[in-house]
Amino acid sequence: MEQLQDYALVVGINKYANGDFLETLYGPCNDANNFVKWLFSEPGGQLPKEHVTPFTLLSDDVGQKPKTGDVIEAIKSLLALAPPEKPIGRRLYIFMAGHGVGPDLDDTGLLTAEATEDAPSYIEGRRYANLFRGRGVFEEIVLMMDCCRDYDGTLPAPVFPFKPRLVPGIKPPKYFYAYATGFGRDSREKEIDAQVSGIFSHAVIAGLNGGAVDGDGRITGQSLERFIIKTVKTLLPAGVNQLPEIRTDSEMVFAEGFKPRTGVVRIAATIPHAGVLILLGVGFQAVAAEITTVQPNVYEVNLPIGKVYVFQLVDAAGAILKQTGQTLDDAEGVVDVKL
Amino acid sequence: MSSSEAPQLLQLTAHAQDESTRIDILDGNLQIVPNSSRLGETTVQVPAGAYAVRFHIGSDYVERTAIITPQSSPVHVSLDDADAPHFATSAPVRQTRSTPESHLNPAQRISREPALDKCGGQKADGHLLVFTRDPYDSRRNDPAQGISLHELGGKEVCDFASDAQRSREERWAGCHYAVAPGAYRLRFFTRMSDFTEQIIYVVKGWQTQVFLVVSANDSSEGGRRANLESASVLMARPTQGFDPARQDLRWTESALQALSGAANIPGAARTEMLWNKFQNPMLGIYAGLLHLRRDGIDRQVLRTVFSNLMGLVGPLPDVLAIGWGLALRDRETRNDVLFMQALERPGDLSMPPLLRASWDLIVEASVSNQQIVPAGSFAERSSRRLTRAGPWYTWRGDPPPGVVAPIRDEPIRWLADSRLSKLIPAPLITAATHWTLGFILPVLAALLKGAPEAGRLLYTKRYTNTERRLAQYVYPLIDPQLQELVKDSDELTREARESFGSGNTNAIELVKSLRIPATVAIAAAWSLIRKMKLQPVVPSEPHLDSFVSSESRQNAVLKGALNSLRDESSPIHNKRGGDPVNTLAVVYLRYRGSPAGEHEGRVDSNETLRVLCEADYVYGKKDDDLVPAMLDKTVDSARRSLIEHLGQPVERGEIQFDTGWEELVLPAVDAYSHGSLLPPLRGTLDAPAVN
Repeated sequence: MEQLQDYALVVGINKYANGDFLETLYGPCNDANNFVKWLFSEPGGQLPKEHVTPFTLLSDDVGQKPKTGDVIEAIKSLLALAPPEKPIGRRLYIFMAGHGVGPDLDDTGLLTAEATEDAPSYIEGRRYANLFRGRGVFEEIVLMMDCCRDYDGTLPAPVFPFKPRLVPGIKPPKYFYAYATGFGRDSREKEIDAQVSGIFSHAVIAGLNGGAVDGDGRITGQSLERFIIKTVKTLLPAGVNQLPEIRTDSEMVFAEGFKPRTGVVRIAATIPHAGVLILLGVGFQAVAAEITTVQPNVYEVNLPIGKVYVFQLVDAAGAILKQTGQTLDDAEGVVDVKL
Repeated sequence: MSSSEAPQLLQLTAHAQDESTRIDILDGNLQIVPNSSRLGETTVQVPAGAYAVRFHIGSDYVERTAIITPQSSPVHVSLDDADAPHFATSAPVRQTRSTPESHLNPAQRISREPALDKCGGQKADGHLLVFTRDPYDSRRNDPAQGISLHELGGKEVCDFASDAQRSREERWAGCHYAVAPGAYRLRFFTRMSDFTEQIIYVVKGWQTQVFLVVSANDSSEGGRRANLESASVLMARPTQGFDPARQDLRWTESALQALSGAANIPGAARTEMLWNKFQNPMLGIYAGLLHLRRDGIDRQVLRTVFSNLMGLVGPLPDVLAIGWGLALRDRETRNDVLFMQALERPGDLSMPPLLRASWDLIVEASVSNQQIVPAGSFAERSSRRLTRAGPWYTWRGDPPPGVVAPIRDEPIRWLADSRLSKLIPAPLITAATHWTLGFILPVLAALLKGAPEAGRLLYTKRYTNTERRLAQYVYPLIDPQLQELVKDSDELTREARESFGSGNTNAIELVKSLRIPATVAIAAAWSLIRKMKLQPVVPSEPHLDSFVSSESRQNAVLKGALNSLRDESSPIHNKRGGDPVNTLAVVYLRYRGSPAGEHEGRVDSNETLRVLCEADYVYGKKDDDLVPAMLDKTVDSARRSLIEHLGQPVERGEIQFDTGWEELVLPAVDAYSHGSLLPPLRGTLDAPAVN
C-alpha cells in the first residue's frame, strides 16, 4: 500500500570542495541510495517517487553541491507543501550521511559540500527535525544521521533561517532520532557486501529491511534501536568504540504485518515437577506456545522475541514450585533457563 | 480488575555496588520505564509483572530479571562488583574486558621502580607514570609513539617513545618519571604536525598515573596511536604505585565512563566513592562532579569532600570546580564568606582543569566572578581551541597568544581620548567602568543589529574565530549566509527577524554554549565593538564628518566640496560584497590612514593597505589586490573633482584663493598636515584646525 502521506529528505555527501580539510568518503552516497531504495520498496517505506526524488540531494564529483542553501531550499519546499498550521501528512524521514560535527551534546551537524576549515558550514539535523515537529507538519519525524560528531570548541553557529514555532493544540508528533555515534566521537565506514557503507547506515537499512522485526511482527522504534546497536557492535573492529545514540518515542512503529520473529528457549528443570508454565512479563498472561520435551527435564519452546518472560515449574495442583524471569532479546542462538 | 481501575503500583529498587553503574529498568516489552535511568541506584513504582534490570558500564551491561507481584513487593535487585559488567578500561584493572594478564604486572612493576629523573636539577618531589597498551591488535605494535610531556611554555620534558620500557610482543610501554610538581602539557600527535594536548598535574606526595589505550587511528596517515579519548588518570601514593587489584580503581574507571555521558545522573546520594578520595583523589573528583548533576545535592558532604581534597592535593582546578559547582547550586554556600574566600583565590584558575565537566562549571561561575579565569592565562587561551576527547579538557595545537591589554583598562583609555569621545555615545562612556558581560552583550547586539553589513567583514582575517562565534551567537542575523538565504523570501525574513531580531544576550547561556569564560567573552565583545564602531577599516560616517569639519575649517563652501566626494564611488570595494568605498573615504585613508591601522606619527600607506587587504578590500572589476598606486589614482580623481567643484564658487567670487590654488588641492601626502587638505582662503587667518 503506497504511503501517500509520507515524505523524505535524503542527503548524501561523498565529495567536498576542500579535499584537504574533508577527505573524500565512499559510503554516504551509497547509503543515501540504499535508503531511497528502501523508501520506494514494498514492504519497505512504500513512498511515492514524487515524495522523495525532489528532496534527495547527492554530492557531485567536484564537491560543489549540495551546499547548505540547497538543503535549506529542500526544507523550505517541504514546509511550503503544508497549508498554514495544518499537517502535510503522516511521516517525514530525514536521512543525512557525510562528514559531520558535534555542535552540542544533543545534536549532530552534517557538513555541507562547501565547508572549509575557516567556514565549516553545517546543517543541524535535530534542530530541523524539531522545526517540523513543532509546526505539526507531520505526525511522525524520523531523523537518521550517519556523521561524526567531532566537537570543536571554535565551531561557529550554523545557519538556521526559520522561526521555531510550537503550534498550539497539536498532538506531539512521534519521533525516532538516531545518530551514528556519541557526542565527540567518530562514525565509520567500511566495505560490506562489496560496497562501502557507513556501518550505522548499513545497520539502519538492514533493520528496516526486516532485521529489526520483533516478536509481534513489527518494526518499532525500540526493536530498530536494539538491532542497530547490536549490529554496529558486530561490524566494528575490536577496541573501536562507536555506540549509536538513539532516542525513540515508545509508540513509534515503522512497519507491521511481518511474520513474528521467534527465538528458542531451552528450559532445564532441576527439581521434580508436574508441568512448565510460561507467562508474559507484562500482566503475567499465559503464553500459548508448544513446549517440546527434548530430554527428561529439558524442554524447548519457540517464543516471540523482544519480551521478558516468566518460566515456572508447577506441581500437579498448579502451585508454583520454582520460577525465574528471562529476557528474549533476539532470535539468534538458544537461550538457556535453569529452574 | 475493571478497566476503570488503575493498576496497583509496586516498588522495585535496583542497586549496584559500583555507584557509577547506570541502571535501566525495562518492562515486559523491553520499553524503558520512564525516569528509571539513574547511576548507582533507582526506584520505580510499576504494575505487577516481570522487568529486566540492566546494569550498564560503558557499552557493556549485565541483566537481572525482577518478578514483582503484590505479595513480593517491594523488590530489591542488587549487583555486586563481582558480577558487574566487564567493561573496557584504559587502566589495566582486574575484572575488565580490555585487560590481558600480560598488562597487569608491567604497569605495577614500572610504577614501583625508581623513577627516571627529569627534574633538571630540581628536587624530585613529583611522580608521573605513563603507561600505554594495545589490548586488541595482534600485530607487534609500539604503543609509545606520538606522546610527549612539555612544560607550560612548550619546552619538551619527556619523550615517551625514547624513555619507555616496552614489549612489542605484549604491546605495552611504560615509564615512571620523577618531575618537579606542577602543571604539564601532555601532547599527542594525531598526524605528522597536528597535535592535541591536555593538562596533567603532578602533585607533591602523589604519583599521577596516566593510562592510554591504543586504537586504530582514523586519520589518513593510518597506524595505531594512543587514544586520548579513552585516557584514564589516577593518583596514588608513590610507595604504593599502581595496584591493579584495588577495588576503587575499577570504581574510578566506571566513574570516568559515567562522566562521559551527559545524561548519566546519580540516583541515591551514596557517598562511598566520595570518601574513597583519601586513597585515590581522582575518584573523589569524578564522584564529586557526578554528584553535582543530582537534583538534590548533599551540601555538607560536598563541602567536606571539597575541603578534604584541598588538603590532599591542593587547589587543583578540578577541585576548585567542585567548589564553584557547589556555590552555583547552593545559596548558603555562596553566603559563606570563608568558603568563598577559599574559592576566589587569584590566579588559581589560570590553568585549565583535567575534565571538561569541570570547565563547564568554571565558565558558568565566571559570569558573576569574572576574575576567576584571568585574561591572557593559559586556561583562557587554551579555551579558544577546545576539541573533543571523551571527558577530558583538550585543545588543538599551541594556545593562541593572550589578550594584550587588560580588559578594564583598555576601554576606559580609549574612551578618554578626546578624538574618539566624539564618536561614542555618552551612556557608553559612563558605563565603561561597569564592563560586565550582562551589560556589554545588549550593547553588542544593538551595534550588530544596526550594522548588518558588518557580517561580511566578520569572515575576514581581521576578526578572530572567537569574535565571529560571539557575534553570531549574540545576533545570528549578522551571518551573511543567513541574510542571503532569507533575502528573497518575505516570510523567511520575517521569521528570522522574529526569532533573532533582539539577539541572544543571556550571559550564562552564552558562556555555556560557547564554552568560554566570561573574560574571553568580554574581551571578544569589546574587541568587536572597537573594530566595528571605533576602529573600522574604512572610516565611518562619524569619522568622515569629523574629517570634513576639520579640513573645511568651518567654511561652508569647502565643506560642501568635500562632502560632494561622498557621492562618488571609488573602484575600491570589499570582495565579499557591499557598496564601494566612496571617494571621500579613500581620501581619508590616504591622508589620515585607516582608523584600524597602527600609525605612529606619519601615516604609513603600507599599514593602510595591510588593514584593507586583511579585510578583503580589492580594486576594480577584476578584484585586483590593492597597491599604493590605486589609492593615489583615486586621490587624483578626487583632486580633479574638487578643483572642478571649487572652481565655480571661485568664479562667482564666493571664495577667494591665491593664484595657483589648484596645486594645493589634496597636496602630496608628505606635505600634508591636518587642515591643509584644501588651499587657504585669501585674506583670512585661516589656520589648520586643531585636532
